Amino acid sequence: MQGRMVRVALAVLVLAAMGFSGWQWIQWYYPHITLDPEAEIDPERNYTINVWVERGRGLVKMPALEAEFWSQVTSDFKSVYPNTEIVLKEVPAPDLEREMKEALNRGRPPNVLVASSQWFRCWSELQLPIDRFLPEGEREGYVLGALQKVTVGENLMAWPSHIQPRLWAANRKELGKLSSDLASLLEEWKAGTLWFGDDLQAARDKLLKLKDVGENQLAHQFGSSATLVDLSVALGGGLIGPKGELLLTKELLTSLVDLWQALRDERVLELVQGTLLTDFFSGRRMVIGPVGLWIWTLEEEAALRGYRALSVPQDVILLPPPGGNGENCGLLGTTVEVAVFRQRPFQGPAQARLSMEFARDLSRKLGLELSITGLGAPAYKPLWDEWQSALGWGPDQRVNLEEVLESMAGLPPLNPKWHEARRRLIGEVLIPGFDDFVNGKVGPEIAEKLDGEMRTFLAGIQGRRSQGKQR
Amino acid sequence: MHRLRWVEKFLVWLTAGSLLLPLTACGVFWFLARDKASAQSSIDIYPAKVQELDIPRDEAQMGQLEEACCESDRVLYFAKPPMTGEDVEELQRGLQQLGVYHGPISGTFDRRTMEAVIAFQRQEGLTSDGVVGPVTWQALADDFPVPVVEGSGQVPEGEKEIVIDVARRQLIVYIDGKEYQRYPVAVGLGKTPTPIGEFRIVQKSMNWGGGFGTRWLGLNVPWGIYGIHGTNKPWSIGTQASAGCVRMFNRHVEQLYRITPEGTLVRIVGRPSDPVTRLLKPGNTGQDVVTLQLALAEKGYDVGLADARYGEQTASAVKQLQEDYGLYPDGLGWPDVYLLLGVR
Repeated sequence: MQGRMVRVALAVLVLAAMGFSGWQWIQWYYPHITLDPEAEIDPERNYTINVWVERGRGLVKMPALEAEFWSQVTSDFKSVYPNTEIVLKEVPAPDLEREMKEALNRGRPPNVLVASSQWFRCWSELQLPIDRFLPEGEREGYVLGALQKVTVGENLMAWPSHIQPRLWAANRKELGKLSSDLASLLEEWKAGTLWFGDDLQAARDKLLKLKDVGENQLAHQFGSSATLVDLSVALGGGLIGPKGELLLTKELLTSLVDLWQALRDERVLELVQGTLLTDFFSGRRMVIGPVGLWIWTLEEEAALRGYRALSVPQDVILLPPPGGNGENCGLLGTTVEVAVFRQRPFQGPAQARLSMEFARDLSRKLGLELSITGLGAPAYKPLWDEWQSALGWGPDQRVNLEEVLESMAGLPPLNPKWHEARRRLIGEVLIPGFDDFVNGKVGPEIAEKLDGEMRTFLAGIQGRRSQGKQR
Repeated sequence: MHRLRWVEKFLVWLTAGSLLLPLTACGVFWFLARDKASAQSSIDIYPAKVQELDIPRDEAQMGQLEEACCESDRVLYFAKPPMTGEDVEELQRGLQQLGVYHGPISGTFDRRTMEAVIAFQRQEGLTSDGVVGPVTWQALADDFPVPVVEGSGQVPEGEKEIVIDVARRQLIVYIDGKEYQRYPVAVGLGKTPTPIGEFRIVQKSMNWGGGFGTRWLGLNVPWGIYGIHGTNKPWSIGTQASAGCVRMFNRHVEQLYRITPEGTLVRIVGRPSDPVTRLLKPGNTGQDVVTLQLALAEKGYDVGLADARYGEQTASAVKQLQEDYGLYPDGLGWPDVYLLLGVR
């Protein structure tokens, strides 16, 4: 009897020990993540913030690690939190994906990642939302499109830092010479409503009127599929619905391809190779695109090279890209974001708070630093006065920029799964397909082809999901 | 019969006269131009040297060498109309610095110049004929003081690099990134500028003499034959004087020759002279290519060396720029590329 009691007691003890260990493991693997802006910082403890900086992508020229910018940013932060060490690491752009995946698999991503993107990437569940560290008052300071771009589900998943919006530019002198109905057409474009009349047919009819001004007044960068991609996303309601359904129909795609073809056939839109900008500054083109904010920086050079027809900013106004001000048009172009990650196991709310605060400071200072060249703008608008005065840009330019940016803030957010699917769908299917079309490798049948490929792509993701459920 | 003998005598004299007259003329001409002839013979040794060194051999290329460097000396003398040119200017400067010529630097070989030459030749114990050939040039050079530059001892190991600052007319040798030696140089005239860019020493040779001095370090400039060499006009050092080559004092170029091996990188810094106006494409060479390469490098694009050759790496850098700005990435030098880079 006594032996039996001992065996029962031992069994209970073993079960209790197993239960406790299991609970501990669950606590470790799925910790209760506390993101507290007021989390207590232990003055006796040393904190390390690992920062990865992507280097060498497009027009985003990150300051080199040995540049004064970084020593200033880190020393400013350490003056507030002296028990913090900031460790910076540069990662070449082509290596970023591999290095991030490896680090995420190990559960040891950097605390802070500075990277640029065309379509924002949410890396993993280890990426932390910034919402609790961004008070309502400060939220309004950001370019709305930049905030929307980092919105995944209901959370903001990174600190927007710098924006290089994709825009169009118009010759104000020529616009002034237009007859009233054509002038109102361009006003519609400026207001961003042109491409969203009753239907694409209406837009097409209106655009064809530009022919009255002269042939080829509307000029597009040769070989660029950006406009077709942007229009597809905007017309297609953001491309994917909340349940992963494809919103861009075959009919819409066909209309879009037809519109493009008609504009070219009617010689309203010309694809220009190598001389689009010089033609514009010589006064030979009325509206060109896509361009960047940098178009405003070319005045001096254009004058020195003898293209004296236009002066900046009086004669050069920015237009939203086609698709701008549609309900589903996001901030197009390149942006720089500063994302914050936790590690596995969670290093505690103090570490998270320090990482968040450093990322916030860094995102703002970096946004200003990157924008001084005139290639883009800070995502945080309270920095615009300083930015503008450094560039010598006047209030008219600011108003113009704010107008066009306002029209690029309607991309519907998706949950992390479909957010990532949209990003990949654009990069892997839409862009290559339209590249082939604009470069003449394939004709208008691209609409049907793209429709099929997009459906297959999404079915693949849906299929993996349902298989996973079955298992 | 008597009449026939007279005709015979007349024909003999006529034949002899027609033979003697050109011979006499040739002799007189040879006498007058003997200095010139000796100068010619010194020029003639270049092709032999060239052959020996395996650099361009045929006459056209040799002409190119002389045209590129313009260091082959013309014989100067008082003539009517007077001889003019940069070589006369150089002569006047040399005579002036030695204190025997007090006239203006006019570039015209006038009577005052001739008198100064004769005075100098007398002073040096040369034939005092007022004709300036290689012997007289060398005597002028020998009398010129050369600034002493330290560093004739053991040359440290390490990677050598030469930087030539055209504006300051200085040549600086770096070893492993640290300045090792600095020399004054003469660079190209405004109309025949020294090529700007990043080149390599591809040949070394010695004792060509004359305008090339005692050492020659040839550079791989793609559109002509340029090099760093000594000189027989040392007073020109520190000025714009050459047809594009970089001149040094003979003693200095001998030191440089010892320090720098073939393959050494030579960065010639300054403002490229040619504007970028044509559509540049792979295969093009020229100073405008350097302008494009330097502008790309300044914007952070990797062009390798700014070596004046529009190769794959330059095309790839142009493509990258085009992609960044949303232009069609064909790697060609379109006006839009120049506008974005700010090259002129």
